[in-house]
Amino acid sequence: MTPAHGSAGIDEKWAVDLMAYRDGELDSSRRNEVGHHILECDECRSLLRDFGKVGNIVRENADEDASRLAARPVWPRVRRALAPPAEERKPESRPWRTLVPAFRWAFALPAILLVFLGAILYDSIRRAPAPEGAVIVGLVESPDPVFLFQQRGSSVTVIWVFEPQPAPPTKEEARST
Amino acid sequence: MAPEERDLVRAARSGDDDAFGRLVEKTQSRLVRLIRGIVRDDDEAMDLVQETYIKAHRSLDTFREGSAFGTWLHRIGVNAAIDHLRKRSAFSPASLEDAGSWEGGGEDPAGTSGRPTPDRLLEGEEAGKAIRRALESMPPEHKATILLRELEGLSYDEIAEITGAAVGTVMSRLFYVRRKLRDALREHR
Repeated sequence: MTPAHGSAGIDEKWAVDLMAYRDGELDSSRRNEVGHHILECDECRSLLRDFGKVGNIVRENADEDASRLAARPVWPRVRRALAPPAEERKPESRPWRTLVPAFRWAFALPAILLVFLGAILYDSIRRAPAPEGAVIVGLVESPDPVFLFQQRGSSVTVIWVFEPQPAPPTKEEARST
Repeated sequence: MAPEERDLVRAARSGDDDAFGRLVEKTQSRLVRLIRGIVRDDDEAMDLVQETYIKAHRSLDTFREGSAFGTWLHRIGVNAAIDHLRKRSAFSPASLEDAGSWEGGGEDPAGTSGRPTPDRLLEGEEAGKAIRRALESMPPEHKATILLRELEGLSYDEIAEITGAAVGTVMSRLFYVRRKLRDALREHR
């Protein structure tokens, strides 16, 4: 048993010095002292060997783990992250675009009302009987009931176009019924 | 800092993104390995690597040319990974208490001479799994410390600079982690 070893094994301070010896962190005089002891002590050599083997395994594990990541590119990711954010597109200067949403009901309601009134007016004119005193000058068959206006000066000619009417029965048909 | 790296850093600082891209390509494999080792998850590691480079790009003005770019980058990455793990709380409170209790002093790490040696486990896959499990339960600062030492080969001073801890704390953490990992191998058998 040397002064470096207690009854339970290697003294803690001595063991730390052994580690520092292995790592090249001792000054020359202490290094010589520890080096001489190691030559004579199996237990200290065993501890140093174990530290060395532990270090080898740590390196092997780290190399094995890092080898899986070798194929992952780093710089493209970093470059993307460093790139300034794309400048936000400024809206084009079209003030009506901002006005229309604000006043859309103001535009829409009169338009709906106009369409509604137009439909009523059209229907009332279509259903209106021929004005009193109007002279029917002829009948025209048409699939759509329409009417035409023709204005010449102060006189107005209205051409009524009625829905096709069934033809009146002939004399023979009337006789048979 | 190598002349080529210095030129790239200068160009990146003056706004040359392609130069920064080359810096990323030169340093990414080590940073990925380190951060992956700390957080133990592929996707989280890649997100943190990206976050690290973005922070580095935005802080290029604060980088001192006399210092090593890799060390500066690792400091940003390790701090991001540690913060991430703290938020995620992936480690159990018990493991923190355990770590804290040892740092104040503890039993002789070699007082397990009656246990079987780990020699027969060391080359096997199971040994790797045992080490992974043991690392998983450790506080993030401890994981970062052992990885900076074993993967990057950094000195205690450099580890202290990156993690913001005193050199004595770095030594204490390293010894704690190594002893834990050694014990994990023995217990596994």
